[in-house]
Amino acid sequence: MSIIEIRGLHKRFNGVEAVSGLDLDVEEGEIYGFLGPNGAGKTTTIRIMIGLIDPDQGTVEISGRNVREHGSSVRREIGYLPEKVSFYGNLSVEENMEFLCEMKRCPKDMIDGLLHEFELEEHRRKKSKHLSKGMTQRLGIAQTLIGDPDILILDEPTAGLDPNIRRWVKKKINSLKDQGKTIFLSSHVLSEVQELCERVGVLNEGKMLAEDMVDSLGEKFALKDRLEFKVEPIGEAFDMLEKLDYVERPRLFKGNLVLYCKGERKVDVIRELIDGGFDIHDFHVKEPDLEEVFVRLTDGGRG
Amino acid sequence: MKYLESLKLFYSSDMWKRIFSVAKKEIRYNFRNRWVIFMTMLFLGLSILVSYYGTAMEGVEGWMGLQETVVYMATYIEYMVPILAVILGYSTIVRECEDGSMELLLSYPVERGEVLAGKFLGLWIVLSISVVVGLGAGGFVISSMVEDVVLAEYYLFILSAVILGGVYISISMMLSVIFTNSTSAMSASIFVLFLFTFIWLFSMYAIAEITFGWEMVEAGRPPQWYFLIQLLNPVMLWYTLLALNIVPLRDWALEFGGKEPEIHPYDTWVMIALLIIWIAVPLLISERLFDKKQID
Ligand SMILES: Nc1ncnc2c1ncn2[C@@H]1O[C@H](COP(=O)(O)OP(=O)(O)OP(=O)(O)O)[C@@H](O)[C@H]1O
Ligand SMILES: [Mg+2]
Repeated sequence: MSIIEIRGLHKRFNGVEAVSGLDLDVEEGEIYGFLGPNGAGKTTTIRIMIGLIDPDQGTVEISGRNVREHGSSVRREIGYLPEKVSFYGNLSVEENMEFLCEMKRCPKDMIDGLLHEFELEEHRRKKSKHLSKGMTQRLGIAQTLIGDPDILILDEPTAGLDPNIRRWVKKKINSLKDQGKTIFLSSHVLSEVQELCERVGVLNEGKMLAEDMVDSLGEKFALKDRLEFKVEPIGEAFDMLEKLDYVERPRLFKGNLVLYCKGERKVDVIRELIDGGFDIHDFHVKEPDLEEVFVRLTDGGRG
Repeated sequence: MKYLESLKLFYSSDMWKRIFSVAKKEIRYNFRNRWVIFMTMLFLGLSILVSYYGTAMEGVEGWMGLQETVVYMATYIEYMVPILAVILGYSTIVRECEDGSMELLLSYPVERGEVLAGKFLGLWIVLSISVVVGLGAGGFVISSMVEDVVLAEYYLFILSAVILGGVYISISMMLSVIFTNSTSAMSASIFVLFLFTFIWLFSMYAIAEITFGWEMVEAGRPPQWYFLIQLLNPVMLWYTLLALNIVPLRDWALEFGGKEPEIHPYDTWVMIALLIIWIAVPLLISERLFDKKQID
């Protein structure tokens, strides 16, 4: 049984269909990536899941319970990171955490551990309005773990963070998965979802465009590896490779030779170059990523 | 004993614990609000000032009795307590919805009604502390300076101010639920402040003039319905409550006419009951509206 089950969800805001007939399932223990461009309806869907707004149609069930009917008992099992998380500015980090602990009716002795884990110990007496964006976001994720919930719903957990903190957050999310938590996270950063998630749903204009395992999504769309060579003489190499039928879109880019081909043919390309007596100074392979799936799906197939 | 036990059990339920937690948070939060501190100091300062200088207008300088002080203070408490209540209440929901902390709070296993109840309780406690400290300390200074102190009436005065504050907290919290931005909520609250004071007085005057003539009011013989309308106004209820119970205020009201308490066929308890209805109704409306409110 899926732990999160969304059926036929619709939500309209003054004539705009923000969510339009969405179905979605998340299995226990997986990291599900909810992917979509700005305005796709991710936040709206998540708010409906939490019970912050009501859908016009459709149902959300979490752990087999309808969130509209069992709101507060469902929320007991959820840790939620809002898109723009905000605390009580006049209260300190510690006071905010204590208050939230009281709301979940769980012991406060876990606060120390969480503040330590999220490297906020030295800021515990700071008023939360004086925290930087990165600290606020870390506190935001820390608070989702209050009461040790089984399900984490994170709305763009890495948005607006610098690369270091971003990496740190991603590591944290991975370790939470290892603890057996079910994680539902939204993002419009494709590489991130690819790195973190096992399964993704691609949302656009309130509709699910595709939903699959990260890997098979690539296969399904017959995505190609991107190869980049520093090779000499480059012109002749280009002429030769261009003639191969499994090589696609070859071009010269910043003094490099760039081309696309299926993953299993890339060895053949290299062999051709070596057999042809070319000097390969360097090369670089980029596996197909969701960027490509995304562009294809949301661009009406033009990509 | 058994009764006490079950009462203890009731208040230690999760629901009450969450309500008390929200209340505690509000108390903490608002005592860091410098306006609340400022208003408390103002209550304190004004009660002392009024006592000392209040009679200066009448040519007598020096300390005035506690009872007489109440008469003068009633005229500014009528504005100050509602203003403090509005400062506390108007933004309490709408600001948190705007800044996103409400979204976080409501993602926790707490019912929206509990949030409202906790907020009301907390804000009312803040207001009560401010009023009791401000007026109480003022009263203490005065009673040590003058003789024949009637403390009971002063206590009633403080209590009535706390109840009036409760009404305005309830009303402004309701506006805080209704409006989706703090500026509108504040404007609406200010309108309510004027509604039950200036606007009310002018309207009642106009109504009297148009229907039976203001002379009747001055002569203390307006029709019954004219008084019944007054009972719709919490400030008038509060004023009547005071006038019914505080002797110098009654004398003063009699002297100036128009607000003559003896014509009211109602007693203290009716006034208190009506004020409590004024607290309960906006709270119930808030509960209904907040439950439907979309947090986005
Ligand atoms: N309260 C609201 N009132 C009116 N329109 C809204 C409201 N909330 C969302 N919308 C609209 O619904 C659509 C979906 O918005 P939503 O915030 O769910 O997108 P999103 O996928 O989270 O985007 P982003 O990646 O930018 O966060 C948008 O067109 C947005 O303008
Ligand atoms: Mg969003």
